[in-house]
Amino acid sequence: MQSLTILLSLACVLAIAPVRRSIAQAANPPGFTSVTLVSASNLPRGAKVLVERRAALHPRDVILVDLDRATPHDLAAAVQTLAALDQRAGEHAGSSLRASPKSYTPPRGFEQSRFGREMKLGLVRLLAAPETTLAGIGRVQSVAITVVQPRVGKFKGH
Amino acid sequence: MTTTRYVVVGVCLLAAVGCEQIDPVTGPDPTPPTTVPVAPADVPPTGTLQFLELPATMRWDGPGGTTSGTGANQDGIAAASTMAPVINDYFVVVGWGGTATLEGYAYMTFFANWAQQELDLFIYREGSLLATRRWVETGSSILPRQSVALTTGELNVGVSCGAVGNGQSSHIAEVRLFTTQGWTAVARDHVSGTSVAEQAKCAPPVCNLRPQTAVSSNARVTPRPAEASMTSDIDQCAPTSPPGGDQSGESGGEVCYEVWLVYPDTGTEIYLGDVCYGDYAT
Repeated sequence: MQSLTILLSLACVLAIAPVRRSIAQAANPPGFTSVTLVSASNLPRGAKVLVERRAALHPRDVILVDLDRATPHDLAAAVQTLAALDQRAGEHAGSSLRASPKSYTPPRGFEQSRFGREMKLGLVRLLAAPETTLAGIGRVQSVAITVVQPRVGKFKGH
Repeated sequence: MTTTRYVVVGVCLLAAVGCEQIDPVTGPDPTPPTTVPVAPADVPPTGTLQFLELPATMRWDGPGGTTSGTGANQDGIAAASTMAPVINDYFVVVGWGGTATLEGYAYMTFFANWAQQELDLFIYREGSLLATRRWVETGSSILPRQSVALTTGELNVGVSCGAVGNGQSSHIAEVRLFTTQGWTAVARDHVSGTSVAEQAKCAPPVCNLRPQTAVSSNARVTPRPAEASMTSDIDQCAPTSPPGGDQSGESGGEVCYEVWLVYPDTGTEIYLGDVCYGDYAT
């Protein structure tokens, strides 16, 4: 009888495993990336969003957002800037970088796309986020959001 | 031992049930209930109360907000609440104990640019309209603004909204309650829009409006625990294809940015240059 119970327990574990796996996948689905949004005001140079790649700190990728002024459009520009920093670190790979979007043309259908909704939702979630302590920044409202992994793009020469 | 087996099998069955998908909006229904609805079997749990500090420009009494119409007492101070609001029906019925006074807030979130946005909040008590408030605003808004009615007792909250769009526009409605304990999002759902003219009814989660088309819509809102509401109703909805909408989900775009090298120890920045990056045609 004891062996039957063990067998049932084993069957239970096997039955649970796919469920747990699907939950784990939902948390980190492929093709998605995570970025930490931080509420900030008085950003330098009048920026509405500021991208920071912090070489020695966690979280590494941070987007500072002026919630009073930033739009989903601005946040999308920041996410795309982060993608560019990912792709073109060059000799500064491993260094701390700071970048500020100057202009942005969103992908077609941005407003209704999943990406567009994620950007809007990111702002709302940051608005509602509790204060936490972030290394190198201090106690701030912040939230980690998951966004569609930006497609690999090209750089335009200057 | 038989008991042990039953327990093991029971746990096993519960584990296999997994996560139930939350249904999207139940569809337009402007009619308030005439009687207090019966609570469904699977009552959602009460959400964690969460304080949402809106920036000054987004507060109803802030410098950026404009309201109009008659409403309930805006100056009332909520009494001490002895327990959190309990959601007990899908037509946003909220009951509570003690001496709590609740304020109902309705939010609308807009995409794109609007000539005018209107939002009505109706609060019913046992089927009777107890308070209503109309909120009108012009211009574009991307984050929630609110309308308020103050009342006590068991509530039904209904939301009606309309807007005149300038372009591709969409909207989402959300109902929150405020107690002395803080905020709780009791309901949030996407409004199904219908046009008074030619706009066809469209499906949640978002509604596209044609340029310069006047639309109005009514919706029942589905109670959700605060945690679920704050996570994202949008994410829980399978993408639909509103007229003209692009559900491709592609991220990207073309961005030009300035970049600096930062020395964290000193805070020194060295300007590296301007860069443009995106999906350029070859």
